[in-house]
Amino acid sequence: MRIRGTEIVDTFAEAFPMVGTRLIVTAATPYWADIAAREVTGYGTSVIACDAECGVEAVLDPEQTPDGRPGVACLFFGFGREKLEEAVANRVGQCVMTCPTTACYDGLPEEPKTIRVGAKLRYFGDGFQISKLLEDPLGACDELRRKRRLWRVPVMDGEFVCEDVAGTCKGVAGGNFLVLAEHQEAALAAVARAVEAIAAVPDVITPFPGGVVRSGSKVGSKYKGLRASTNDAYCPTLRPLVDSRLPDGVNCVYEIVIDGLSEQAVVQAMRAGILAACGPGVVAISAGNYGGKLGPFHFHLRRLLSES
Amino acid sequence: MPVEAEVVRPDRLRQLSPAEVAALRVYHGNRSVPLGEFFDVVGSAAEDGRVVLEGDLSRVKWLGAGMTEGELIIDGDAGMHLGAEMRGGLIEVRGNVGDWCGAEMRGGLIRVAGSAGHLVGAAYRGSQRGMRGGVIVVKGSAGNEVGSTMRRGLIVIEGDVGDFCGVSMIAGTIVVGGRLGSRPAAGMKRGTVWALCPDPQLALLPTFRYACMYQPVFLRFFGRRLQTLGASLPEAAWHGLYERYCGDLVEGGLGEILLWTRT
Repeated sequence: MRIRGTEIVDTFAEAFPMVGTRLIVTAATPYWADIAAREVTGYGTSVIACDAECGVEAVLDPEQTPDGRPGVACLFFGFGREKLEEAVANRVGQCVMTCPTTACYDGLPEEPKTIRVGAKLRYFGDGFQISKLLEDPLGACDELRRKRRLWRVPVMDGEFVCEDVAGTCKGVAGGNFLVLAEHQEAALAAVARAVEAIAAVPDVITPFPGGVVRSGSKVGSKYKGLRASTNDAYCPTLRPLVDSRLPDGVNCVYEIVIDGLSEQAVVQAMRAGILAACGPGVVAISAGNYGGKLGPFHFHLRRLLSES
Repeated sequence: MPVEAEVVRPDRLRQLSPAEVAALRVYHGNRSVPLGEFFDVVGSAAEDGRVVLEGDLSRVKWLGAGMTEGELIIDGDAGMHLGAEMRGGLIEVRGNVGDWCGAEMRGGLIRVAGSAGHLVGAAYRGSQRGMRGGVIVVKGSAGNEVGSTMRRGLIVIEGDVGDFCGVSMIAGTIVVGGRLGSRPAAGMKRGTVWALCPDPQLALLPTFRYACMYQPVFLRFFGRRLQTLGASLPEAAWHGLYERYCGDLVEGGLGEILLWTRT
């Protein structure tokens, strides 16, 4: 299969189940909402060494947020609800509560399973925190399928408003594809196109810097205790030394990793990203997997593209 | 002479035929009489759980009291104790209601198109807690002691309220679109009285102390959702500037009165 001259390798991406949640961070201005969102999703690229995988899903207009202010939707993924709860509460406490004018709301209010966010951070109020419980007596509003409790924590610019809990769902982490290009310039242009296309897909994030990974990894290492090491099969500088998977003419590879709230969202994002990445200077699109032995989700590149 | 008709609640009537409904007993003064003496009963609530009452019911007490589900529509005025201790469902009154509307309510929604009497959502005398959940929306005004000793829930009075609004509140939220009467929130422990109408004559108790002028973010969240419950408050009030008063200091001072400055 070829798209605009780019070969689609007959392989698949292998992904894993993770617990995901969405927070809506709002602020008085888009500037502060953006700052808070970037901070709270920082250092959240991979659970190999981070407490969670996180990123900005979308910038929201005031009419899309629970309090009618500018906001940003952020997604967080972790192995298990307990770990995710700890990571998210720590992040919100240190990066959102500290940021001027912000508030933090549950972005998955329809999900029955939850993690505690405001419920943990309220104690910062030292007894002066105020709970506000808002019921939906008729269940008339989809957004309000359960009681929603806000915590008002007194801070030096007024109050930090944080929702008691955030809904969680079974997400998918590790959807990916590799852009194999003739040179770095073409590779950067391709991944930029891909990340832009993926940004328009709801329910997904690309958690790495700018959405792109240059240090793709394989499981294990020659060094004991190291869980991951460089993906030597795709390193151009090692072509003659290892069992290289690089076709002739490929001198630069970038990987795009996608986490999503559902399998379907990851499929859509991979499809949008791959279609955008294909073009001049891009020799092939491949994907990372572990032979299908580790992750239950297998995204076959040719299959997902032919279904579009 | 008033009629006490606590049997008129959708969750109870939906399983009954019209004849069975007409045979239910109500009190007329101290006399137990069949409901059919006062009402013509037609149709069934079996499918939709919806009961519609027509006529002047201003002297019929306890309508919808303790109901757990369904809809009770009253096309006219209703008497005292409407929806008292109700736990779920909807009561919609297209006229006015008497005293004790939603007293000690636990859940559900009461919407009143007209005005309400005294003690909306209040605790009965001798009881330690008033309203414990649910929402009451009154489009008109209300009398004294709105939300007396309320523990949780939301009361919206779009018009004026009488004296002692939120007296002895334990928690919860009372929104007042019109003027507050005298001594609002006296003895309040926690909770919020959110007042939208600036009143130069308003004198808060000396046990309420001015804290600051600010824009409470949670009101934006509340305001949007109040719309879905049928309350129509000015949108500018959601993101307005408020004076915050802490009180009642005789009860620890963790409650608040928020006064919209209209700026």
